[in-house]
Amino acid sequence: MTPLTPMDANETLLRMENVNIVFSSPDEADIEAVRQVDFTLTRGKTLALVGESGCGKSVTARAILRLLDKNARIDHGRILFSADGGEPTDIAALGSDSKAMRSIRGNRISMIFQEPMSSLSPVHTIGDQIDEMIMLHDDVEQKSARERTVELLDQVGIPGPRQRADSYPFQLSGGLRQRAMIAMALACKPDLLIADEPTTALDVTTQAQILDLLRALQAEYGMAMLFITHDLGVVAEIADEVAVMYLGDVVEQGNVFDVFRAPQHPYTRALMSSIPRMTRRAQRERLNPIQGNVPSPRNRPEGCAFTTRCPHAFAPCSSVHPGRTPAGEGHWARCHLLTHEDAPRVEGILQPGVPAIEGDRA
Amino acid sequence: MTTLLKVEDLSKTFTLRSGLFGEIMSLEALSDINLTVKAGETLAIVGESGCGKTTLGRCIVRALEPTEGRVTYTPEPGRDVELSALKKRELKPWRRDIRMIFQDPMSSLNPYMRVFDLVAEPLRIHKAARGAELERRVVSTLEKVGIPRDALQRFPHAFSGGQRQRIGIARALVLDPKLVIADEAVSALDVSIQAQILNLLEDLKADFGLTYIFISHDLGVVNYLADRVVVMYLGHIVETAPTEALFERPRHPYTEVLLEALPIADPTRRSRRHEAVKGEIPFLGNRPKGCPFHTRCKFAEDRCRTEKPALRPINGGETHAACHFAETLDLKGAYGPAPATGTYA
Repeated sequence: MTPLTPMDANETLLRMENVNIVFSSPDEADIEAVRQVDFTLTRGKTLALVGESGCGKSVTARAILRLLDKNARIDHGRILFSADGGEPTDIAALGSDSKAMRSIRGNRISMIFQEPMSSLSPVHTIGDQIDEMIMLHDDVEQKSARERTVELLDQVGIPGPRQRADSYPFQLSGGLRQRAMIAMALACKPDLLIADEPTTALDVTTQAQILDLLRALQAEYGMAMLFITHDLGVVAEIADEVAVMYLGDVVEQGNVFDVFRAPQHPYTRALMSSIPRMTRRAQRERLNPIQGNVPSPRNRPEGCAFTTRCPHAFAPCSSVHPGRTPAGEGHWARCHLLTHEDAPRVEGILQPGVPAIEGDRA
Repeated sequence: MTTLLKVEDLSKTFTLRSGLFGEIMSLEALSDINLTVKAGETLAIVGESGCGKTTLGRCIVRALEPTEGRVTYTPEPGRDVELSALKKRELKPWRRDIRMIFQDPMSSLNPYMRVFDLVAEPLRIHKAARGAELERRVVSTLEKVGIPRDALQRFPHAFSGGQRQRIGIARALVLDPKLVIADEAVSALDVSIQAQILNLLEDLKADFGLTYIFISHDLGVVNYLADRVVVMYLGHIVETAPTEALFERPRHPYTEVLLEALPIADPTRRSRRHEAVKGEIPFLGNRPKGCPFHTRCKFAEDRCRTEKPALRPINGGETHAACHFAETLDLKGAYGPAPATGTYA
């Protein structure tokens, strides 16, 4: 298979603008599961969306493919997608089952999931499933589709691809199933691959193999990747950029090196001090977990979502939703500590009136 | 430190029959396991799925019957109880001393029982307390694990995953055990909750003078919590060493592979990994001859394909490894350059 023509590395592929997603139910008030999400996906780059269960990371990803449940809707905001450099399409305005959307879903944008067993058909061979995918989008005969399938299976590192194409998903190990799923997602050479916790169910050596594979395929195809995970270790391994989500808000976003070196939002900082560091005994520090639990979206504070658990919360936090505040080149956080003169002083956070650490504030 | 538990030559074989008249296949899930647990330490058992770490934990408490071998428990110096030789009835008193915590707190708590009864159940079964005394012990144990008093009459579904895990821990601790076997006790939890539970386990260990066998696949957590580590692969112990020694300089190639595959939350250390290990864990039913790891080992030689290496002390130290070349291989650990620098935040 020939790789796509090399693209301009800085080309914007998809832009989320102020998207919010609302779940409604007949006998309760609407719940805003995701609010004011903005991010940009660039060809050849990986954005990791990281957060704990229920923070809205999977819902955000599904919104891009318009795969939300019936009771969920994109309330406002735009999802601008420009596949061929032309006029961008607003995915949020398309019908979820319209022809335009179907020509994007699975074709220009495809997705892989955590548990391949539940997203592959158990009664069809993996070869047939990938053939179908190719024929659906490319109008080719089954025979040439199968050739492509075998090539794809080979490319994702499945040994004996021609024979393995005739296997059913249950006959493959977890790692091989995930590879088959990646092959299917790549069948139409998508511009964007959304990976929703693709390695969470795998053993650590298999996880390392799959991460290597995704990296190699990205280098070859030049696709953008939206990588959803709860594991900061995986983020550090694979991401170019990282967006941290908490209770429906993206609270911080930036280059992965900047965010890990100098996290600016108290939630990001709390997440990082919750994971054990790979250090020797002498440097071992007791974990410093966030107190309490994530509140339900129903009880989300009006202002900053993290107020109830934030050790630095002060006057405006519970009532005013903080805006995006730049903290460096392409690095921003939504936190009042960064903007208010009278905020409590917190070491390591760039605050007004505090001299910036060299090189941190652009 | 005195020995609290000793496992000798333990093997466990499962038999499977495929179909009604199919042939009987035997799978050796554990072969010749030898280890000791010292009083007061945290011993971690690590490995990937199917390596036998859970089976080992279950054989120790005899939730599964070992096929061969001995498990000896030493409740006080000079008194050895061979758990593996006891009848089920005779085993019961010792079940108060050795307790388990499980991974999934949803499936290990009876959904029809209230929190109070869930925690009181072990006391009732062992007739350890009743009436006001029982109530006092249940309430104080729940308090220690951080479950508020007003939650006693609720059902498990009313709690979050982290709180359910606290209830599971309370069930283990209410009998005042000496040894707690935690099987992937924090694996299903979100990181911030996981940190709370890890701190709790650490505090409880100090308060109650506990000994832990901590079964996990997460080497980051193991480095944080454990004093010693046992690494398993395909039913074998391939290496056992004090935690820092193991992470500083592993002696078995599989340990190196595990450490190398571990994602470290520091993007500046991304380049440390060269290439992920090839291949998959073989099926237990056709375990390779010789060293079980030779099919994936980049150092494998002819000897490894025929001769099974024994677990032996390396350079006379505490580290034991089952590799023919353990002394000479220069394997890479997981720590940064010493003294560790580059911690951010």
